[in-house]
Formats: sequence, C-alpha cells, structure tokens
Amino acid sequence: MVVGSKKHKICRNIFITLGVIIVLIPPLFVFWWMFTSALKTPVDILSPVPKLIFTPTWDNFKEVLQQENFLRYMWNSLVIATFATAIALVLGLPAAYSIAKYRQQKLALGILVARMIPFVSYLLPWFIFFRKLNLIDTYLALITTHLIITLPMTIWLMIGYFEDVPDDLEEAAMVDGCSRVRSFLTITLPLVRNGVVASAILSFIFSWNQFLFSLILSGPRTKTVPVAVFNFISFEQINWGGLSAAATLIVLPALILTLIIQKQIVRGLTMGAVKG
Amino acid sequence: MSYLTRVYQKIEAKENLVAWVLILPAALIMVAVVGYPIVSNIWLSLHDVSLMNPFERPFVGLANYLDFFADPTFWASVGRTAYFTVVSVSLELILGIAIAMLINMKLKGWKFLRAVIIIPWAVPTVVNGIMWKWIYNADYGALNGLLQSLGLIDKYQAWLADPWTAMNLVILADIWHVTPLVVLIISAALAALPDSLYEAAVIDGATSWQSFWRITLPLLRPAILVTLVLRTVEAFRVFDIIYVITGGGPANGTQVISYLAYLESFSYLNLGRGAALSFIVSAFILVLAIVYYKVLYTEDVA
Repeated sequence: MVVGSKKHKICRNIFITLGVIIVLIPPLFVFWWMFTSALKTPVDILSPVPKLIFTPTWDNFKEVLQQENFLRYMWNSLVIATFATAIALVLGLPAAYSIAKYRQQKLALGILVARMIPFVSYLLPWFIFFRKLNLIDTYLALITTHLIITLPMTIWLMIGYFEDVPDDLEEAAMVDGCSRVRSFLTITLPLVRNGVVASAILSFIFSWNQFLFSLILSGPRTKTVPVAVFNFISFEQINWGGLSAAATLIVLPALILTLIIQKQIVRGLTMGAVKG
Repeated sequence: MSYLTRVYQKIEAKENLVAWVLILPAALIMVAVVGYPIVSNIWLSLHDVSLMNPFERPFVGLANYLDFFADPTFWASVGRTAYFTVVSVSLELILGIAIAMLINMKLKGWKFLRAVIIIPWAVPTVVNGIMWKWIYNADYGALNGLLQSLGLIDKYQAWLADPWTAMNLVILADIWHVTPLVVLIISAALAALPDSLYEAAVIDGATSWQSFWRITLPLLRPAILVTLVLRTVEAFRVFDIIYVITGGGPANGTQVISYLAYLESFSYLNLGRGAALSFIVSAFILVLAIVYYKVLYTEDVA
C-alpha cells in the first residue's frame, strides 16, 4: 500500500470514478428516458433508434390533464393517502407510546406479522366483504385496506422513537405537577417529531404507490393514479407519450417526499433495527 | 400490607389501565383490518367457494391444499418464486454493499450521489414496471437500440417472448428498484462503524481487501441479516412488478405463487383455492417472520 503509492493512488481514483459513473447511470438513464419521452411527439417516441435530439412539446401533459381525467385520479390518491396516513397517526401514536413505555413486546410481534403477510391474503376477504355491502369503488374500502399498510408501519416506526425518550424526562414533568397527557404533549411529542414526520411521509408514500388493493377495490369513481397509469398500457394502441407524462406526475410527489426523509427511511423500513 | 405497597399497587393498576386504554383503539382497528381477513381467509380456504356458484359453499376440509400439493403447476410456481427470491435478493445485497462502500468513502459530492441513488426506490412499482416493459419492447425499446448500436445484436429481439429471459429481465427491473434501499440500510450501518478499527488495521499492515473481509463484513452482519430477511419476505410475495411487466407470461414463465393466488381468486373466481394459496404464502412468510424476530431480539443489532 505504501510502495509506489502515487501510481497506486491514480489507479484507485480512476477505479472509483468509473465506479461512480457506473452506479449513476441506471437511475439517471431510466429517469431521463421517462422525462424526455413525456416531452416527445408520438413519431419521435416510436422511432426505432431512440432519438437524442428532438423538439420538446407539452402536448402530452396537456392531454393527460385535460382528456384523461388525471387530476381526478390524483385527487383520489391524495384523499386516500391523506386519510390512511392521518388515521394511522391518530391511532398509532398512543399505541406505539404504550408499547414502548410499558414494554408490551408481544403486541409488537403481532404488528410485525401484520406487515409481512402478503397483500393477496388480505385482499380476497376484503373484496368479498365490500362486494357484499356494495362498497367497492368507495373511499371507505380503499382507506380501510390502506390502513393495513400504514397503521402497522406507523406503530412500528414510532416504538423505536419513543423508546429513545428517557423515562426520567416525563417523570420529572409529572412530579412537577404535569398530567400524563400534558407531559406527553409538551415533552415527549416534540422530542419524537422527526419520527412523526418520517412515519407520516412513509405512510403517505406507501399509500400513494399502492397498486394491488386499488386495482381490485377501486372503480371509475375512486381510481387512484397507479391504476390509472397502468390502464394506459392495457389498450391496444399504447399512448407512450401520455403514459410518460402521467408517470412523471405520479413519481414527482413520491420522489420529493423520499428525498426529504431519506435519513429516516432506513429506520422506518428496518423497523428500527438499523438506525440511519 | 404496608401503606406504601398499597399505594404502589394502586399506581401500577392505574398505569396498566393507561397502557391498555392507549393501545385499545389501534388494537381494535388492527383486529378489524388485519385480523378479520386472516381468519376469513382460513375459513375460505377450507370451503369450496366460487363466484360462479355463490350460493353453495360446501366444507371441503384440506382438499384445496391437497389439490395444490398434487399439482405440478403449483410446484413450478413455488420454484419460480424461489428463483426470483434467491437471485434478486442476493444480487441486491452484493450490489447494495458495493455501492454503500462507495458512498461511504465520502468523496466530493457524496450527498448528491446518495440522493440520486435513492431515486429508483421512490418510483411506484407500477411506473417502474411500465418503464422496463417499454425498455424491453421488441420494436422500439431502448435495450434493443442500445445493444444494436453497440453491435452486440444484429436484429431487434423480442426479449419478453422467452420465459427464462423474461424472468431474468423482471429480476433486473426489481434489482433496479430495490437496490437503493439496500444501499441506504447498509450505508447507515457503515457510517456507524468506528474509524479507529480501520486505523489500527492499516497500522498492522492490512490491505483494504483484508480489512473489508475481516472487519467490515463481520461488523455489518446484523444489518445484512435484517436486510436479508426483510427483502426475502418482500421478494417471496412479489406480485406488482410481474403483473405489470409480463402478466405471468410468457407460457407462465413468470407465474410466481402470489400471481397464481391472484389468478385463482380474481380470474378463475375460485375463492376457496385462492385463499388456500394465499395461506400457503403467508405460512411460509410467517416462518420467516419468526426467524426475523429471533434475529432481532437475540443479536445485538447496531
């Protein structure tokens, strides 16, 4: 390592630079492909040799927003994801607090199991249930099933954050005459706000991106964006330009939210086992 | 009983009550949204329920399960699921560790690097699937364009027409989508390792290769285990990306077990059989969940 270190260093730098380039190409390429296709005319898109230089057009975005009812689908996704996230927080925060403070680890195991069962297993009974009650294609059906994802995730993520809050802090507040509720609201909650933001954003992203439940349980009135995007490729003649524009519109919110909480994602998805 | 003990007991009883009151609303909702379908799914799997004939639901015991165990289609889909899981998870892990090491060198602009790398994970699976389906397209896909301009193929190939190739290309799309997550987890674990160990290793004359194998990898073991189980569980229940890219084809070449369960339930409308299959997938995943739990609570995880 020491002998001939200058030559070695140059070699090493070349290797690392190559590595960085190789690592950067796949994510950037697919995005470049998607964004540029959204700005291409149908003729340019179907050119057998992909065109690098073309005249950009906003027609695809206009078409998607005006003709395809896409704003309606985005609204549906927004409503469902917001409710699924908010309900998960309202129910999940106290539960996580209780599990963390009173060491009810067995309940935590139940939550872990809930997160691991395949979606197909949940879908079939809910499909039968909602079909019987004529509730297919309602927000209620979609929010209920999205809770299967958001509630366990919120609880699990928050257990870790609550465990990190020292017991003494709250006890001190209570000795000073604070009620438990007040000490929770004024002392504990501010300390775990990173966790609350992370759970909210992760829940929102998972609900926003959810496909299978929405595919079966939504209909013309409550169709969400992932299903709407998928429907683009079920026609005989695929409108790739419109599809790319739609895909761009659905990816952007999730992408921005992901970049905001990239540090918390690790904790959220390993359920606190690895702290980012 | 002394006065003090009684006061403590009273406080304890009250604390217990508080604990349960806090949990109750979430627990009730969990039982409703998660517990109900699990029980209902088991009931369905023991009956012959078909939407073609909704009024008769005879009890058939384990017949639905036994049918599958005797069915080569089922075992073929188990094999495909296992192949998908093993190949995608191991490649994601190897690539993830390598990329995380690169990020952890903290080169100039490493934060930008990390932000770009996370991008694919944020893409909804549907969009991810559609993009790759398009890249693989036989007439105007980027893969054909790229390979032909590099002179590797003389004419455009129908990549998704061959079952074996199709499976591997779906795996490639999954790797593109999920590796970022592995990178994030591993690089978080790497950042937590103490520098002093490496300094000591350098003084002792260890090469970087040696310190990777002897120091980094053993210390990463907990994070790797967590990633491994987390990803195995997800890969074993894979559905969305296959539904979007190949729809289980060609010639059932990508028909994994979740897909088969979906087909039984929502295409053939044999709800009983679909439920039995879902339960089989769940049972396997539950075994993994138990392993996961054991790993998490016995290992001293960083």
